[in-house]
Amino acid sequence: MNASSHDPDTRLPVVFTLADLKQQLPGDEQAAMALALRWLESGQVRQVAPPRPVFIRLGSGETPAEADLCLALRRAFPSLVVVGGSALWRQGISHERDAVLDCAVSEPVERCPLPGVRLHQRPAGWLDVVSRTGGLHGHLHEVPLLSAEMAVADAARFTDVWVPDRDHLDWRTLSAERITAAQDAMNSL
Amino acid sequence: MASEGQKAVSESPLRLAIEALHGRARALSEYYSVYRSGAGPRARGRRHQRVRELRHDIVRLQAWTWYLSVADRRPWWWRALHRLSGVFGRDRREQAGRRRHRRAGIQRLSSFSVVDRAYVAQMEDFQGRLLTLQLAQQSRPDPRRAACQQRLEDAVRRLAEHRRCLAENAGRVAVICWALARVLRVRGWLGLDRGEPCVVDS
Repeated sequence: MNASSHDPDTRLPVVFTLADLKQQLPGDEQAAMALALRWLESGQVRQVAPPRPVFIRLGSGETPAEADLCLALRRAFPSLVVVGGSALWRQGISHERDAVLDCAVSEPVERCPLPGVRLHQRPAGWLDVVSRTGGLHGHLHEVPLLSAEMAVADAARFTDVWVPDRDHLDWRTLSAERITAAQDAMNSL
Repeated sequence: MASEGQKAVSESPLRLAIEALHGRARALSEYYSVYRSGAGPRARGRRHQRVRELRHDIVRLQAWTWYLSVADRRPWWWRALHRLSGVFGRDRREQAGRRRHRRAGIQRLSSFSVVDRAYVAQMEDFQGRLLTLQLAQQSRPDPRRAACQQRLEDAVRRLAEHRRCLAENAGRVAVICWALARVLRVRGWLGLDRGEPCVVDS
């Protein structure tokens, strides 16, 4: 790898960590740090969720592809789950599309400057409760989605995610019993 | 008791190492929750194996944390374990990376690698912070930020020193993690606290 290059090296994947970069420059941590800083300054690379050492190659103003976005977020936050209207739209329950991808994480989040995504912090144990009560359903690029009923209950409990108006939801596919069970689970947190 | 334990940790020269171990155990616990819930990457047949690997790694991190957190006080069992690990760990050859565990039939990291990765993860976390700070410092210089940068650079250097010490004592790490992990398991079975081993004393 040419350390003096101004372009992010094409041998690195679109999403990479500081460890990946150090592997490209073995034995020279300072060079890896300097290179990462130069790429960050140029705007071609962004830190997914500063200060976490996970990066995504991105032109300035460019919105990353959804698959890359999901991969970047998964690498920064192992507990990532798609919630709210984003989960409902992707399961065909909502007739209204989300403007940004709403995701929940159990780890502390300082900020996430990536376009097209909004992160919401959940308490420790949230994912355990959700999974124990069968609140996960399907994946979006390997990121689990909340089930429709759990997405409704979670939105009602934490009130920080976007959900479409009642008129834009397909209520025939939602089970009232499962919503009650999901609400009970959310209230136990 | 807990606050005394935490105070002891914060005043210890090993504080950074202990924080790194706590941080890594927390991160692995998150992965553990994800895999146990079935929400992890969908590799067939790997889920239960990964859950077992993670559980094993977490308990070894807790074991080494326990050992370091009482190193200042040196209780009798610590001195005995230190001496025994010096004898039995002397000729052990610990290698970085995964190796196949004969009985469980799964890939496991050596204790040295588990602890080393905790230090590396903390170093990279600090370096991520350094990059964030340096970027902000270039656009809006601030002396407080420069001081913070200096502290982070010192922390990275000290962690690199911990890594060097660890590599020299890889055999000892293996013996200590093996012994204390078993004690922690028994404590767990008996319903005794095993979440915060740094406050457990002799």
